[in-house]
Amino acid sequence: MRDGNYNFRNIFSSIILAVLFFTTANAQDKWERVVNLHGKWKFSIGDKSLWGDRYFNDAKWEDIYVPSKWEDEGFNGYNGYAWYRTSFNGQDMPGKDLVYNLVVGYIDDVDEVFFNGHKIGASGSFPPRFHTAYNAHRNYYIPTEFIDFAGKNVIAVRVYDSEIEGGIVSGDIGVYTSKGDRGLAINLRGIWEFRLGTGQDRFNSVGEKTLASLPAEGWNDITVPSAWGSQGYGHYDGGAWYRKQFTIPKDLQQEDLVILLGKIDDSDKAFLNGKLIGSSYDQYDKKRYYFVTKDQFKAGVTNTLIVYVEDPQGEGGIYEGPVGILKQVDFSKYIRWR
Amino acid sequence: MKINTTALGRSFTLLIVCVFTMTLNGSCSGGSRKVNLRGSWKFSLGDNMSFAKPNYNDSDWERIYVPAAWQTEGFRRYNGYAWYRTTFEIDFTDNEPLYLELGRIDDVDQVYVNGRLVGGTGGFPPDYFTAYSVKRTYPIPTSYLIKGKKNVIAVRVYDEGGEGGIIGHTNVGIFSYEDYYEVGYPLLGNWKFHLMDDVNWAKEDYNDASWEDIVAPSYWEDQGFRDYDGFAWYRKKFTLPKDFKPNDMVVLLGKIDDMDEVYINGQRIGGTGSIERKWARNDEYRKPRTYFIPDDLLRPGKENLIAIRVFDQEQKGGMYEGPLAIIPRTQYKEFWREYQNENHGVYSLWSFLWD
Repeated sequence: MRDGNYNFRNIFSSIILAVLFFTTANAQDKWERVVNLHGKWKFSIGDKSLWGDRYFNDAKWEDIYVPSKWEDEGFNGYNGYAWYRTSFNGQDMPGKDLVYNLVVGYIDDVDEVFFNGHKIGASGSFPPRFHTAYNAHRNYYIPTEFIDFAGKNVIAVRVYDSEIEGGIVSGDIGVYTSKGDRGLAINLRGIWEFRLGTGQDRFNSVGEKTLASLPAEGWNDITVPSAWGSQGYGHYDGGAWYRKQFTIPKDLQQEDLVILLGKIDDSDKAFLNGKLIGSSYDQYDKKRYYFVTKDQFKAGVTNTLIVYVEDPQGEGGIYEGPVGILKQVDFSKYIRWR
Repeated sequence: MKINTTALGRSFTLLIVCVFTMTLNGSCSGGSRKVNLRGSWKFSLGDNMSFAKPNYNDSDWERIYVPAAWQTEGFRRYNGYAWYRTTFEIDFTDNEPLYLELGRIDDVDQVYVNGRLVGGTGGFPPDYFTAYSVKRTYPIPTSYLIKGKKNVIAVRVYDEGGEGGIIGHTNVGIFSYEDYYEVGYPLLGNWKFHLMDDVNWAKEDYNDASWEDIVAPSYWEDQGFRDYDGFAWYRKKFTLPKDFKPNDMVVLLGKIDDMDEVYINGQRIGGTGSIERKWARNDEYRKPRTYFIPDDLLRPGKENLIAIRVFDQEQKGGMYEGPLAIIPRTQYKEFWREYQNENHGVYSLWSFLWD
C-alpha cells in the first residue's frame, strides 16, 4: 500500500516537475541542483519558535521522508503546526561566488523557512489570518552571508496545515544555483513586505504623493519573486504594494546603479526613497531595469524600495527574477548571453 | 573617377558569386573572398585549450567536412565539446579589413587564429546560452597573420543538442573589404558597445575601455544582449590615412533599429527619428542612414571617434545592416549602386524569407 502510494507520488511529482520545467525553462532562470535534500528529515508536530534555531538538538525527533504527505508517514489525521529539520555539509556547495536558492517544493498549506536560524522565506499566512499557499512552489534565496561553506548548515521549516493532507508534499527539494543571479552587486530575492491596495489606487494616479498615505503597519511577508496568486492571494486582481528595505554597501556610494525587478504581471511603478525611478505599463513578459544615479540613494544606511503593482486579471505580482542591484558600468556585461 | 576598372571587374565577379551562393544558401558577405575554407578540416571531440595553439599536433585527429552538422558526418548523437582546426595561406596588405565567415554554428563557439582569440558567440557552460541562429563573422587583425606562410584556425564548439558544429548556410572563408578603401574608409567590424544612455559617451575624452566588444553590422540581440530594448551606444576609434581628404565626405551607417544620433569627434552630425521622445513611428528601422560630415571635422593621419546613440523600441536592436563606411559625397551614387548590386537588393528578399 505504502509502496503503491510512493510510486504514485513519484509519478505525480514528475508530472509537477515536468510542468514546472516547461513553465520556467528559459535561459534566464536556469536552475541547477547542487545539493539533493530528498530523504530522511527530522520531524515534530507542535510549534515552538526555538525549533527554528540553528543549534536546537532535534535528535529525539521522529524521522520523516521528504517530500511526502505526513498522513502517509504515520501522522494520520493530524492538522495543525509541525516542524521539519535537516542539515547538509557546506563543502558540497560548488563555490562562494555563486548564488544559491533553497527549493522546498510544494507545502500544504503555509510555511516559514529558516536557514541557520535566519528566516529566508515564507508562503501563505498562518492563523489567525489563515491563507493557504498549497499551490506555491517554494523557491527561496539563501543570502550568502548565512551560509557556512566549511561546515554544517541547518534548515528548519515551520508548517501549518488546516485540513486533509499536510507537510512538504512534493517537488524537487534541494539547494540550487541560478546563473541569472550571478554578478549582481546586491541580491534582493527573498522576503519583502506586501499589502493589497485600497481599491482607490489606479495606475495613472499612483505617484510619489500616494506613498505618504501608505500605513506604516499591517504589511505581510511575501516571497519575491513569486506570483501573489500562489502565495495566498488566490484570485486577487487589482493594485498591491511591495516594500523592501535594504542597505547599500559603502563601496557602491560613488556608483550609478541599475535596479532589476525581474518580470512583473502586469504594470508597475517603482519608487526609491520616495522618488519615482521607473514604470512599465501592461508588460508582463518584460524584465524591469530601472536606472538610478548616485544622488538617488544613500550608501551605508537603510534605503526603501516601494513597488506598486497592478494586475487586472490572472496571476499578479513580481513573479520572476532576477531581482537585485547592479552597477551601471557592469550592466552590459551582466546582460550579455544570459 | 576613383573606382578603376579592376575594382569594377572584381565587383562584377563578386556579384556573380553572390547571386550564386545566395541562391544556394540565402546569404552573402559583401566582401571579396581571399581564402576558401570550405572542405576538409581536422576534428576532435572533447575540450582542451591547448588545441587553440598553432603548433598543436592534430595529425591523429579525424577528418570532417566544413560546413556540415557533425551529426551527419559520423558523429551521431554526440553533444558536448569539440574542436575544429585547419590551416591556410594568405596574402594581404597591412591593416586590410579582413573577415572570417563561418556561418551558423550550433550552439556556441570561440575562434582562434594562430592561437589568438578573434571572436566567440553564445555562452559556454556553466553560463550556457545557445547562438545557433547567429551567422558568425569575425574581423581578423592583420597583425595576427603571417604573410605567405601557414596560418592556423582553431574553432572550439559546444553543442547542447541537435545538429552540432559549423553548420554553414553561407560561405566559409576569409573575406576582404579592401574595396571600400578605394573610395573611402570602412567602419565594419569591432565596435565598443554599452547599454543605457549618457551624453558624455559622445565625447572624445570618455574612456570606453571597460565596454563590451560588439561586431557591426549585426543585431545586438544576436550578440548576446537578448531581450534588451532601450538606449545603447556604439563607439569606434579609427585612424585615417595621412593622405585622406577630410572634406566633402558622408558617412553611411546602413540600417539601425530603431533610431539614432551620430557624433564624430564629439560633434553631432545627424540623426533619424524622435530619439528623445523614444517613439519610433515612421519605420525608422528600414531607412538607410546617410549623414554629411562637416568639413574639417575628420583628422587625416590621426585618431578619430564615431559615437552612435541608438534607441531600440522593440525587437532585435542596433546597427544591423551595412554599408558602414565614410565615402566622398561625389561617390555616393556609385557606391550604392555597387553595394546594392553586390549585396543588398537580393539580400533583403532573402532575409525576408529566411527570418
